[in-house]
Amino acid sequence: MTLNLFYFLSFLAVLSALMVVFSKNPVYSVLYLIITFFTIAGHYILLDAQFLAVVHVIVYAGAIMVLFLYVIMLLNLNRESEPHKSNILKFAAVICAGLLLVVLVGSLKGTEAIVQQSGKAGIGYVKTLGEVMFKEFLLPFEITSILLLAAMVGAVMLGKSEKTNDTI
Amino acid sequence: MITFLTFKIILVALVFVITLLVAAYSTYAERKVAAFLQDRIGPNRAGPFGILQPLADGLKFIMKEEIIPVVSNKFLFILGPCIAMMTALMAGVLIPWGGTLTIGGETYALQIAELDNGILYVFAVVSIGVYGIMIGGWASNNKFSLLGAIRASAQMISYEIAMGLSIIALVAITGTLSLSEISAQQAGGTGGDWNFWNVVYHPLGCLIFIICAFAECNRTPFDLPECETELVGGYHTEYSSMKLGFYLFAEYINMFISSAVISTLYFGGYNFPFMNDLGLDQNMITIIGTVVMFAKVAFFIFFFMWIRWTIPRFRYDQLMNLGWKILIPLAVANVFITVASYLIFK
Amino acid sequence: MNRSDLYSLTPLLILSSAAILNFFSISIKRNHKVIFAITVLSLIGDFIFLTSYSLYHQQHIDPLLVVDGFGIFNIGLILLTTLVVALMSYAYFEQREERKEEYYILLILAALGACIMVISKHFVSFFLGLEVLSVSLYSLIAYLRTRERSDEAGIKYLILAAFSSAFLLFGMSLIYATTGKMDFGGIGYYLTTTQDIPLIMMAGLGMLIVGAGFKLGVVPFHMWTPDVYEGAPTPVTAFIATVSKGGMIALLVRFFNAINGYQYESFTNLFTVLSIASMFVGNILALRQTNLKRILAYSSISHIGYLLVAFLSGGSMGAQATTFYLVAYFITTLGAFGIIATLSDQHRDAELIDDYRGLLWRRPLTAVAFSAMLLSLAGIPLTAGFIAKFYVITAGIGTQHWLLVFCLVVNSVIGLYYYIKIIAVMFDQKLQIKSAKELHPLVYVISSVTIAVLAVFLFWLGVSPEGMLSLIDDVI
Repeated sequence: MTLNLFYFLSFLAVLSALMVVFSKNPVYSVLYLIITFFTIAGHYILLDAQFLAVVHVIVYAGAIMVLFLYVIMLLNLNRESEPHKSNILKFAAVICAGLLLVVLVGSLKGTEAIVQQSGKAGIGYVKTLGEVMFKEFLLPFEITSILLLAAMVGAVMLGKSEKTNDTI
Repeated sequence: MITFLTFKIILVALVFVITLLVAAYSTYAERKVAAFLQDRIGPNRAGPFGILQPLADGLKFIMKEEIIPVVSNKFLFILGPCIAMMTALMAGVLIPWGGTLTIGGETYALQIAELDNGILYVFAVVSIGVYGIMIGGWASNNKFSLLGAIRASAQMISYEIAMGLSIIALVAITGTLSLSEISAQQAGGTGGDWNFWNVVYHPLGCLIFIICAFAECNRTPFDLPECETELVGGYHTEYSSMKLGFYLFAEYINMFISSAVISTLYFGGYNFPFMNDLGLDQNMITIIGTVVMFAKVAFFIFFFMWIRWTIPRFRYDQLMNLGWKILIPLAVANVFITVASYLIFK
Repeated sequence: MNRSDLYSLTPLLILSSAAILNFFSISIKRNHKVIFAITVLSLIGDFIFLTSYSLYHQQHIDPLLVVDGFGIFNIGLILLTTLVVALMSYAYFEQREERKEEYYILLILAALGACIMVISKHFVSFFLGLEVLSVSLYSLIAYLRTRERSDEAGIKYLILAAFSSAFLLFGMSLIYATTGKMDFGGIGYYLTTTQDIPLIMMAGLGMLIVGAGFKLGVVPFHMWTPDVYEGAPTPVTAFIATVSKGGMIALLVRFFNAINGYQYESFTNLFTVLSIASMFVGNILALRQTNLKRILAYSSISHIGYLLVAFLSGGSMGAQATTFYLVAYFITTLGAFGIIATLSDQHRDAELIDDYRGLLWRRPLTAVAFSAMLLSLAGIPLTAGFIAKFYVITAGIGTQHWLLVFCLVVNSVIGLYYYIKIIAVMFDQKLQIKSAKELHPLVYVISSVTIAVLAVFLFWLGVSPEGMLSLIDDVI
């Protein structure tokens, strides 16, 4: 059952991820990306990480992709406005990505399944996660807040409209 | 196991039907409340007191001609209302509608699914609800629809942040994200052991949450995505027939679910005062509790309508200012104040 | 977290509180002088605090950080560099009309990120440090928004840095999938238990190198360097060229020592290719440039190539040569960009070679200092650059990397051409009269003194490097 679900989710994930790339219309790309995020959230649940799954949906599907869609709709990007890319570039990109694929497939093929028993039961529960985050990994948690501070200062600084002389 | 499954299926069907029913009668209630507040009579033709009005409305919606604009994106145009309806219905799964029933030696909880992180699940569903509006608005290929969709997304993203922050204090103090546990913790005060509803401990959080719930439901004073005076019909300008009905219906379902969540989080859910002092059977308490829960929900639905017919719509910049510059700082302050006072007076 | 952990982390805490202090100071009143003073004083205070540590200080803050001599040395280097950048920023930003204050917050936070990076011994802290650094840099690069190229540079850096972070994360996850460990020690231990590196871990390490390579700007991941160097405000360019790259090098040294990466031929071969490519591509592309910032960008690509020669030598000699080269390169690059910053006017940076025509006759001292910096970049005796390069070559010969040493020597000759070309232009007679808006003379004094101090250091290290060498010897 779990295995079948895994294959189903993986199939959907790969398919929708491919459609993100192949769609001509950016809005479709975003919608496929949302589906990809949902399938990945499904994978998290299969891995017993419910908290991560829900947060993934809230943050990625529910917030970031809404902003993506927002910007794309606002700019009204269409097929016509897509800049023309030269064939050489496409060719180079395909070769690079293909090589990466070969490397990854090759390296994954050679490995035997790494079975690692997670130390605690219910590793994905909020409580377990909270204990790890606020005891063992408290310092990186704080560093993350600094990271957000830096991002916030930068965003506000760049986003704030410059006062021009005529409005003063 | 089989009985368990049967019970769950019955429960799912019940919640589904009740949700739709409540939503349908909310439309009726809305008109009646409007009439009451404006000193009118309201719908009174279909059945006694107009009680069959929702049926008549539904029939009318279905019978209307269905128009799909030629320039629209057909698939997404149909998908939009579907998503809106689906996400609206999904959130009801987590709400504990009542305590536990004991039938034939087995105990059943009146909740479809119990999740370790129930509140987060509700938030996730709410946060993807905006796609229905965005997709529909964009697929219509109409400037007004697009503007409505864009407004909706900006508004919902902004208010989700304040909403999420507003419950942090609640979660920190109750120590759980599970809705059923939050309900259970507010179980009625008996003599001597005073156990108040969460609203007593988190008044500010409750206020912010309710305001944000209004914004998330696109209800007045936050109904900018569909404000008639500026955008014709907003995101559903191009919609007609039952697809329009779905959008409107989804809004009422959202209202119902929001009311249920507000009651569960802050107003004791299915608990009522002195519930343990009456000396009643557990099953009896549960049944009364469920009735009480629906009474609370009904009150909040009324509250939604009351606000709608009392307060005018915000201007867009006012909306954004309220969200970003007032509610978010307030919500953060609320976290600090509540947690600090908890630590001091514990 | 106990008291001694906290003591070891105090430099980071001082930095973050300085950022917060700036934050509040801005919210009360925007005043460039006050913010500048807070920044400079806290950096100096932080450095003084740092000197209170013993060089043999060793504090493991499990599981993420280790504050040891090497880390302390690098933090000190980062703090001083940031201080110099801040000092040259004052005059540079005072002339401009944009808001100047947030710049210092972001600068401090970027330095904080780099400091976390150089003391991390775990993927989590490595990545977080790197991201704090990068995120601050995104907005620092695009800081002068009214300028033509700043948006382009900012967005280019944003996209490429995000892309490289993705590679880095993917690599880390593959390594974690194989070893089940994220701390450098654990990974090193895993490698001692296996004969060969599993293929999947090899892929992971490869991706890690791609991610690190982007940040270092080695060929073939160097595409962003010239554009970003050109578009960013000059002090920020100096910061990217020094702290951002140096932090990554220090981390790579720590990581490769922990996993003993030098024993694997595949990695040494990989780095050899990267190193040679960087040297040649950097130097050859620099020959045709007429924009000084772009020249310095290409020059920095080739310098990272030289650094990799020392890095590849491994062992304590290699680490010493790397660190010394880093110090010399920091001083030189800061000096060069500092001069560009002082010569820049309100509207544009002095980045074209023509701006320097006849500089010697207009501002003789500046021209002399600039020549010294360029000569040090080229590796001419009596400058720090020479000693550094000498050490790199010694380390290379010591470990029989003949090909690398040969390429290094050839490239030094190529590089000499374009450095000398700039110097020659400065000696040119054609006089130009520029009328820039003059600020208060005191503003210039700060920059001039900074550059003078840098120049003195340059010669001091070039003439008697023993002090610095023994210090580096102690910390490694």
